[in-house]
Amino acid sequence: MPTNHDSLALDNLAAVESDARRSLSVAEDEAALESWRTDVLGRSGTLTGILRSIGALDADDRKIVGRRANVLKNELEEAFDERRALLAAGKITDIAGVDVTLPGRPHRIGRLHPVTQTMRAVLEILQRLGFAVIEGPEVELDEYNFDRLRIPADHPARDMWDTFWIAEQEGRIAARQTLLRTHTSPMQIRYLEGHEPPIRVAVPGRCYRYEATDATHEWMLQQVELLAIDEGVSLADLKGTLHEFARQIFGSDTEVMLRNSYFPFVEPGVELAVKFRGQWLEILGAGMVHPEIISAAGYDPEKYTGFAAGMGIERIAMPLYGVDDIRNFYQNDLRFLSQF
Amino acid sequence: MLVSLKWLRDYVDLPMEIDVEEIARQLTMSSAEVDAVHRVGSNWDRALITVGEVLTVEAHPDADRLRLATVNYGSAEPQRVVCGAPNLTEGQKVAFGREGANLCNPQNGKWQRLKAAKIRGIESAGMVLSEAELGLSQSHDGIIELPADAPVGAALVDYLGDVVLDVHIWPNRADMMSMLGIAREIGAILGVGVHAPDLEYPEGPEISKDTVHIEIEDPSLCSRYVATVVDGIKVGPSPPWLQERLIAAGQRPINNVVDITNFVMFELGQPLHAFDLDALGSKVCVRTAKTGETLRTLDEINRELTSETLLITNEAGPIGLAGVMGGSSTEVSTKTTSILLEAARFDPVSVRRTSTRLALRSEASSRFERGLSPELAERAARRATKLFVELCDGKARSGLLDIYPRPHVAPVVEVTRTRLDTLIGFHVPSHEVEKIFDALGFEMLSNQSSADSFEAKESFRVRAPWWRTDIAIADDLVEEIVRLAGYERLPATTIRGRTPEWEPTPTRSFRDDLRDAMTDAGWQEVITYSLTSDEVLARVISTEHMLFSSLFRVENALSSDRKVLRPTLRHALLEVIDHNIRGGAEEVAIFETARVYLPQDGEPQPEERDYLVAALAGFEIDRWGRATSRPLDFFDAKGAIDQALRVLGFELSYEAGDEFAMISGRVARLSIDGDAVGVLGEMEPEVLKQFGIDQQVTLFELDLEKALAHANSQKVIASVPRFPAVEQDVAVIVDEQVPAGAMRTEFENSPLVKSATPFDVYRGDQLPDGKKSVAISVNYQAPNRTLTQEDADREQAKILKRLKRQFGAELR
Repeated sequence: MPTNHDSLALDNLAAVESDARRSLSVAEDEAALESWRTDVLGRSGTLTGILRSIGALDADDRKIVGRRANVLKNELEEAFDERRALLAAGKITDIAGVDVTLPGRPHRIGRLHPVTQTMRAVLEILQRLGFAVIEGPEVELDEYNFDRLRIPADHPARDMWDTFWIAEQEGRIAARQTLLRTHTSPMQIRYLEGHEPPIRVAVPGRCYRYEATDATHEWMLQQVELLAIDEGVSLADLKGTLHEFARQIFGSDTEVMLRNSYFPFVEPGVELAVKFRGQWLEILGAGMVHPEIISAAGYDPEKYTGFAAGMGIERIAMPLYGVDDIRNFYQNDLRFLSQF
Repeated sequence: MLVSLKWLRDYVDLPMEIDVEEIARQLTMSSAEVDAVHRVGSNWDRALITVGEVLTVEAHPDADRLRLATVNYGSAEPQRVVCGAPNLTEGQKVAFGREGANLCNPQNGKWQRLKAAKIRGIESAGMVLSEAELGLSQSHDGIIELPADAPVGAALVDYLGDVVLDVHIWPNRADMMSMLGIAREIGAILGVGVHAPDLEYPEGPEISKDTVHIEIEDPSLCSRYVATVVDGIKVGPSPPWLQERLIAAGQRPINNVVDITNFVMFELGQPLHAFDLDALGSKVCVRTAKTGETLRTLDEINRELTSETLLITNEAGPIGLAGVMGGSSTEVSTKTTSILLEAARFDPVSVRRTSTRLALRSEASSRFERGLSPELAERAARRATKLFVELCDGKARSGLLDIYPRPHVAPVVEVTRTRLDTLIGFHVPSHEVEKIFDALGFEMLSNQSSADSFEAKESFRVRAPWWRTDIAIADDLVEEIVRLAGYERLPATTIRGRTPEWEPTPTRSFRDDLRDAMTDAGWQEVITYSLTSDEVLARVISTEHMLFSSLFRVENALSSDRKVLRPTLRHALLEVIDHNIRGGAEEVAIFETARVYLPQDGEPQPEERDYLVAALAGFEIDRWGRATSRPLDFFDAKGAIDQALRVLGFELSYEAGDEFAMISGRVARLSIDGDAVGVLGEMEPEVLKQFGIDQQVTLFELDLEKALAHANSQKVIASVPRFPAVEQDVAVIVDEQVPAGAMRTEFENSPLVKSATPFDVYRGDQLPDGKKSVAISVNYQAPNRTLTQEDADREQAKILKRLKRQFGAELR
């Protein structure tokens, strides 16, 4: 039976082996190789020392330890030759290893605001569908925001758009003449003033609603208006265009649903809901451009028909990103923004 | 509008078992949005809350206000409970709750289990319930009185339970502001029968113009005025069924006369008003107010009237605000015996203006302002009069007083088959179109082609039903057809025809490019509010600035800090920095591109100009991502801005300058090709303190439109140099105030110098006071030959000579 003494000798042998293999693996030139050979296999080398001390063990242990030590000697000589060959072939450079799990050097990251990202996605799709992107004033005249969209003063339809009014200024702004646009729809009128059909435009921009904020309402919002006027544009075209839009933004299996609605500047008026992750979301109001708006612009409403639609960008961003409180968007907390 | 399904069943033939959610869905799809479905009584315990009958009422031995009621609730043994309600009487049918029933505590609105308790020494293990305790309304003045035929022992939810739809009616649908109107829509959608209520009643002696003389001064403000007279009225509480209806509609019962006017308003959509005939006198005039007139309204407030206010007056003066609120002098009271009932068609604009001005928007005004059909007035007057006869013991005089100068003519509208098909992009067959018109009450006058079955030339001519005041043009008919045919049947098609010509939008593209370049350079985009306050603005722009007083301000601000349309973005970025430092951010690099609003002479709209503002705050981050103690400064900002703008091909020139709220000596005015485009500088600590910031902040501002003018849409690409360059470092000693940039320019003016970059500035012991040493790395290169060291030396000597002449520079 091997004695304690013998297991000690085996431990020593293991320690010598692991030291020798590690130091061989970092030997990167001929000099280092030579000094390794001297340290391990040389006359007073570590392994040589063990081989010499075998004689002091008793017969059984001598057999076991001796056999192991001789095998190791052969292995290390082989490893040495192999290492020398690799070095000679230039396959080992002199670069030290690194701890690849340490953190990288930090770099500042900037991102686009989630509303900008969503707006871009929306406009890119609309541009692919042939809509040109135009912009208009946020500080708008009552005439364009309401009157010419068939929303006269003292009509209950005005209650659909709670309005910020610009204070009167003598010689410049009359009372209730100017307001913060409540929607991007005034650009329907402005664009029609300078362009003739065929028309296909998308109007992005900030809009404002005089209303208290809560998890689903903000007084400042971003909208995109769509206007398409041409010969023969129909409600089915509206449905098809918006369906294609919804598929591209929410996913190719998105369903859409039109239902009855009312906006004084369209007839018929509809609301569009999309089914996203099993839920119906109302994302936009739309309809066929009212014939009086087409004739007021100087075109024949019997010849030209069109559709208009308006959507809130935050209302699209919220389900897309799973944001449940609209107020997060304009608080600008970096802990929120840096997730997008 | 709150629509009780139970009430609705009075007018539309709904099957007993219906899927309410499905009806709500269909109504929403085709007609008006159902915002919510309330199930009244869904939380009433069937076994514990039942119909009861009060058998006896006795005084409580130890309390004046309390009484003891024995209630039979259908079990073998009646139960004795303590009750404090003043309206408790023997033989009454009541809502009875037993121990364990879940009830609403009127004190705090919380639902709690009813516990048995000793009340002034008497054990009470049940309760006769009020509306409040059942969660029906806030009313806790007395118990609910159920009709005499209520079945004792029945679960209350079966007897009193209801489903109430909260329906959002579009502003153009005056006709739908009523139970009958909703019933008509549901009838048309589901294809079931609809019944208007009965208007017949026994009539007494003829009403004559001598009884009351009615006059309308301006028929454009009141196109019809109908009145009936009912004598022998007994004013008292309404019967329970009527009260129940009003409560379901969200209206508090008052007395039978007022309740009937309200009931008919909800039922038919026509607001009504009952005057005490004795107080009224014999003359009614509808006219606008005269100067100085006032009116004390029903709510006991004296109202100032304007010349626009439409009034009901008698010989003594104003007695009511037309369509808005009655006056107190002719109010129906318990002493009233004869009434004059008014059913009128007032001008929507007039009613809306008056109700808005006096903040008296009401159920009545919301109906008038949608524009009611004048045809409705007569029907509503008859209906209410019938109820006065039946429920108030009234004797109606025969006939109506009816001032109706220009009777309503229902519009006849025509839509062609071509228009219909073109507008919706789908073919609804003729028989279906006719069916839809019929279901909605339109009268088909002619369908030109049904005879020759040549559909292309077909045209539908219809007369709108009298109640539809929103039908005027062919497209209105198209909507009626498509909404009933079902939008789900429309195909999804694409626009045919040619795509309009593409118009480039350089400002938009530039703004997007800039945003990308900024985020690539490590700046986070933010979006801030367009409105701010004078106070905040005054921190970042001078109040003496000529534009300050003429800024665009909001008349009806939501809060005092959102009042002014901003002429700058600077304050907003500082607010974001403050918010994020408070949130623990160690490094804040943000930017926004947005419009500022600049007043223009004589223009009611501002110039809306795009700006980019960026702000940098916080501390340098070390190799391990931790904040060091070195604050980020001017040069950190400058480097990151340069990086962003170079991507876009801009070379900004920096020149020392000054700017409001920035530290003097740490401000650079920025220009491109000599044109001022912006500013970069460190903010004054005092200004930052006002924003709550106690760190260094560097701010960058760029006028987008000006920068855009210098944007190279077409980049000119130089080929890669074929000959090697010579690098040489040189250090020169100059006066402290000589800018490195100026010397750099001098180097770069040489045709042999490709670039010259300052890389070290030294001040100290080895130099005289007021002097600095600037080290510059110079890259010499020629396009057509290899430069030698000697070439570079020769050129450097020339440049140094010029530097000496211009800046007194000495080679170090």
